[in-house]
Amino acid sequence: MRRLLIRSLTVAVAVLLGVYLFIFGRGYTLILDNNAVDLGGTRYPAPAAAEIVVDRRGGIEIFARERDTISLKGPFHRVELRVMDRGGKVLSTVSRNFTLTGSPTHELLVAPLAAGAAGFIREFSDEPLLSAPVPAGSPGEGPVPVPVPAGSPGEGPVPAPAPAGAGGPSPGGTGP
Amino acid sequence: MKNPRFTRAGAAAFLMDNAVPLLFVLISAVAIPFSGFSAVYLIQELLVRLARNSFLVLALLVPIMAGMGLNFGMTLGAMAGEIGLLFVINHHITGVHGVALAMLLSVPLSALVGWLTGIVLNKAKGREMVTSFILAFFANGIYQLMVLYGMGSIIPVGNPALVLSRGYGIRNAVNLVEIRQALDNLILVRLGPFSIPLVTVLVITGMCLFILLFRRTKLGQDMRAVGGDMAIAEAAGIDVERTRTLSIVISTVLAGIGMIVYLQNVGTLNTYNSHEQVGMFSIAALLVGGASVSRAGIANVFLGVCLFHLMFIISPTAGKNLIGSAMLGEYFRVFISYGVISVALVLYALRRQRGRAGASPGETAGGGES
Repeated sequence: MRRLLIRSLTVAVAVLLGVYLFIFGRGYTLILDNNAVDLGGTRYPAPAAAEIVVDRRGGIEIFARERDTISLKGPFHRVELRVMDRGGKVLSTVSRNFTLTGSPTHELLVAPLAAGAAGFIREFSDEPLLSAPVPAGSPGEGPVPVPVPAGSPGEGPVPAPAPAGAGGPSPGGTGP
Repeated sequence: MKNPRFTRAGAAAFLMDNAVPLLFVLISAVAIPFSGFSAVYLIQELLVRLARNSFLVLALLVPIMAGMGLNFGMTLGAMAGEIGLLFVINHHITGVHGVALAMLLSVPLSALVGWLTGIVLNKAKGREMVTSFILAFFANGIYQLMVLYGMGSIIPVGNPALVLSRGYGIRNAVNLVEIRQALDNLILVRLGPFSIPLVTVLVITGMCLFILLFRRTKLGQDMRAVGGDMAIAEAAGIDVERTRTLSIVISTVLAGIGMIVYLQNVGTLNTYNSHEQVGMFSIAALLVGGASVSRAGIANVFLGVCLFHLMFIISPTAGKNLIGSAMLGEYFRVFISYGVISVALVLYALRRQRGRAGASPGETAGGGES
């Protein structure tokens, strides 16, 4: 009986260790995408420049319409986004937690993160970020960054144009 | 005053007992100046190879203790280690977590194949080495069938870096970049011009301690008794077959872990023949270290790894500088290395025959075929 108990415990410990290693050892590629995004019927313009710090590692500077990648390990992370103008002056800072599961490649959408919106993390897909082409001179595509103070009229996320039959990309991922 | 005859006899016995390592030392001493490598480079390379291969060679000691000779069946453990690594790479488990998970996954697989090997070897007492050698070929066939046709079709494999473009089967070479040197680089100590992978060294040290302590346990003593004489061990109440099976299980499990230590250092998995090379090289290294089919110690492991791999390092360059062709140097190394191993096995067989001829008819020596 004692032997059986010890063996069962050993197997249980090995299984638990295996599950821990599987979850916390999993590697992910995170694509940092600084493009304008339509999320839930709202268009989020891309900041002109931003510095992204994930898990307190060295910051990555990314300009509008740029992409970069980083490798992460494990499911739980924290991102700090410093929205900057083209001169490098920090306009606002956003910190959020996020969780990675499922696909080994995820996208971090800078625009909704800068606006403080949920759904800034999604599994990588080839779906377009915008539900319709951006008209020339629209806030997300211009050189001027759009800082997003909550509730300020006339600024921030703009309602996305809704083309017939297009529902926009699903927010996906997990929020903060 | 010393008896000169005794001294001569002692010297002759020493030369006979250590003929293989002495020959390797001699060849290396001649070849090193021709290779043109600096001492620092050679020592660093030896450190890397010691960290990479020692665990695998240590895995061979337990069956020798139990009188089962050189466990060519370690290849089966190596295959289990590779399957663990394939799983880890498929699921993108990175770094030291990936190495640990691969080891954890390899243990039950290795234990199962080790247990099956033990059962087969118990049916082939006195012919363990040749049986395990052929068994490794048989298991290799099953492994290849599973990896080449089963993975991606029956066993789900989703990582496109692993699967062949046809949709099933694993690629010939798998890049282990996600776990490459994860164990070695965990704590890398700089000691003058040398880099020492401290964690790997600690793992190997732990393994040496395990073997030393294991010899003192009840099971270790039983194995030594079985290795000495199976009939006497049986008469003493030892379950000979169980003890022999356990020795193979332990060796196979350690070989699986050793294979992972080896491959994380190399950084590339040669899916279809890494395990074959590893079995042969480990056994060769142990024999070069002065071990025999029935007697091996930890010192033989480290001496063997150093001498055998020193030949790997110096022979291509020495051959190129001496003869003008690196390939000829490599052929020379293969010829000398495996020739010397053959000599070691023949010498062992001759000694054993002489011992048998000198022994009374009732006496039997345990383990290992001649």
